[in-house]
Amino acid sequence: MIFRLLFALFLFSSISISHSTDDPWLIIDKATRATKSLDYKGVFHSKHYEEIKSIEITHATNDNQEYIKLNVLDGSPGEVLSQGKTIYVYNTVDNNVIIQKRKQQRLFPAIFPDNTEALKNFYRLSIGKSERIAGRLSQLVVLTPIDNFRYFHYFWLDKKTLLPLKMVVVDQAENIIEQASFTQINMTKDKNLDWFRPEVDPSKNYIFDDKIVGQGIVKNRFWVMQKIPPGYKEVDFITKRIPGLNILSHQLVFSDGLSYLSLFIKPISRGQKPKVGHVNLGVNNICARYQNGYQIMAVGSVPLITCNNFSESIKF
Amino acid sequence: MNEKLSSLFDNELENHEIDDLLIRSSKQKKKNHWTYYQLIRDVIQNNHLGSDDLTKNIIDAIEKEPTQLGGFGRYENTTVENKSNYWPIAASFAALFVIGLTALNLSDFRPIDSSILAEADIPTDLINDHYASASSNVNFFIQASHNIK
Repeated sequence: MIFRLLFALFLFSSISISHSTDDPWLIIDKATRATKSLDYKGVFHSKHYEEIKSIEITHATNDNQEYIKLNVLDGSPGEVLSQGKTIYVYNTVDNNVIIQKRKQQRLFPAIFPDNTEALKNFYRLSIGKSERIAGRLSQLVVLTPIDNFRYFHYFWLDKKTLLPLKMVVVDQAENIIEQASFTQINMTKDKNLDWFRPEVDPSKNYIFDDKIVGQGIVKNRFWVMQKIPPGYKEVDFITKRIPGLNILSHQLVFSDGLSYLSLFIKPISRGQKPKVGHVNLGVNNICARYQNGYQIMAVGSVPLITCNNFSESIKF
Repeated sequence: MNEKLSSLFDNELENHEIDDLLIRSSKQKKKNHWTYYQLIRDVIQNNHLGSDDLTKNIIDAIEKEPTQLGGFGRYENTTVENKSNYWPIAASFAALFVIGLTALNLSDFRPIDSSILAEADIPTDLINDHYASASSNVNFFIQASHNIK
């Protein structure tokens, strides 16, 4: 009897050890792949500050290409149709539907970066308890920041497929910054792509705005970035003309893989007083600084210290 | 045939060869080659001054170019040396003229009074531009297209 107990104990400890030697971050890699490869249709609630919207999502992979349709169900209609790297937004404004080609972006549930290696240096991963989300059993995974430059991220991953079913972003004071959660989801097997087209309302005017948002006039930089918060890397650089004035405004986008911040550099017009300091606008912190005739503004759903750090990091 | 054309512009052909070449080339519609060889010769002999279209294109491009007050970057890979000396000078004057005009509409580079940032000071465009490039929220991502100029 004792030998049986000892054997059982040995077996249990072996399983625990073998489980613990697995890289726990593999679960994030698998979740990233799940967001790209699975075929599903569902509805999720997206809460940002005080606004909650219901979004319908249909996702399919056909010939190794992703097809995504996102449809805003509450309030003013809006749609996103994404095929591979091409993404179109249909935004209804009064009697017009403005169609725009846009740059690819991380939208729920595909919120993880392609390369999760960088996350390991700035977040600690821990596994929480199991919970039911949208009728499916899920596993809580918590990414805790190792410093004050980023927020806490909670993910509930579907136990069967590892698709993120729920996400909550929380600041240091445990205020909810952002959350998104499926209320219903079904895995689909039908490869038919008939659903991949916009909902056309014949009573509206369809206007194609052919300017690709985010693809501005590329110009050489006349500034340097010094001592930006660790882990953040530049992921985009956009230059735009300021309407009415023949001058340029620059936007640099930084990310640590989960959090995003924009840094705007814009010349001050005659008669305009530059702004300094910071304000909190909903979930965004905005930090302003003036230097050498330029208004510098950092905007992002990031801690205030990160926002301030970025606005101070530009040197001319 | 092309070798002969090239030799013609280098003054390396005898008279009888020139006659023969002219007859043959007119039959074969070698107009494009003529143009190229003339252009090459002019550039090599430092006689090429550009054309009226080129002048107009450069002036149009300068006028369309927005002013970047912080300065312009350097082109590190520039290997072709321009033999026409007055075009860069003219372009520089034009660029300075545009910068000067723009500077009249802008504040000085000297330190000026600043005020404390308030919520009302935040332009909607700024938030929209941020959401258009950096939001994981679908609703904000879609609405960010509102104020695209």
